[in-house]
Amino acid sequence: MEIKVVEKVLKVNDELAQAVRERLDAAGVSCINMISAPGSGKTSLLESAVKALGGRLRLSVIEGDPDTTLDAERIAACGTPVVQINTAGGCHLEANLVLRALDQIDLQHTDLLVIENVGNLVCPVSFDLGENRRVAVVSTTEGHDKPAKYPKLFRCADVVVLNKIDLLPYVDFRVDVFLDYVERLRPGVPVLQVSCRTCEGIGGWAAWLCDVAGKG
Amino acid sequence: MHEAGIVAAILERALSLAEENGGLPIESIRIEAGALQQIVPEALEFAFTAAIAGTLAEGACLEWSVTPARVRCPECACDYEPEDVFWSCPACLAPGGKAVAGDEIILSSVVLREAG
Repeated sequence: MEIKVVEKVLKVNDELAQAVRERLDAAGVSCINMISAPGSGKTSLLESAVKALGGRLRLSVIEGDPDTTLDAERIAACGTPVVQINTAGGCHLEANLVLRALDQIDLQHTDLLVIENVGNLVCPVSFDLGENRRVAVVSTTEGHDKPAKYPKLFRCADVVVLNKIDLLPYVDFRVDVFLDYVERLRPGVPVLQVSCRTCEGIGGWAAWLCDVAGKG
Repeated sequence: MHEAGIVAAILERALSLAEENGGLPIESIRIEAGALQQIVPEALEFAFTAAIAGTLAEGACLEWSVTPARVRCPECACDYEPEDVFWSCPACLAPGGKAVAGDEIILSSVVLREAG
């Protein structure tokens, strides 16, 4: 007996993402989904943003990692509310995990919810989490070819953050080639060049977050 | 390895259909994978084989076909099949098109093995 189905395999995830979006909209909370390779500095960017914002924006954070609460501990140390999701080896977050985590977040006292996805340039891209904006983070130690090798992420990014620019004198990263790749994949997308270590460009990153939350 | 998440979603839907139909075992599942989903066939097969063990889909076969990518040019609105990662319109060379096909994975049908 053949049963015709013809529906999107990720329909359930999309529906749950929509539920996340509606719940956040109702509470007046904006949401970003940060996607990058492991070690590109997503958590450092959040620590830097908290410092730069100085309370101008009330952040809450969902940390996604296969294991440990190390990142959540770093965010909590900044005085920012955080929920750690451990995916037990899973390589990306899915909307059901985010929906469940929302129960532990005080949305009344949040302007911007930041979801730090599991470090991975491929899988997280396919799963809508209910975010308003997607952030692609690349660091200079990863090489300028990443946009060409992982185009799907850059095609759907609303901002690209190039981190660790303080290391440019020591690595072979070609900023011009990187910017050309990004522009061809996603014409007009803003690229923020920053260093969490020297704080260069962090003001622009903080300003972008304020804009997303409508507090620009 | 987003193939594991995709297989889990496929299997969940297929198993619920099998349950709704008197718990008949699943013979095959057919999907259409969009080329832009970057599915690795071996990874999909591996994840499927691991996931079906001990379920109504044990021994089932996963049949799949690839839907080619189609991209719409943001400037001249023509549809084309991209040739490389940097989509540029063959007619007007504009970059930054939007995928209009080949970006989804569709569960097309589930075949159940009828008793007798």
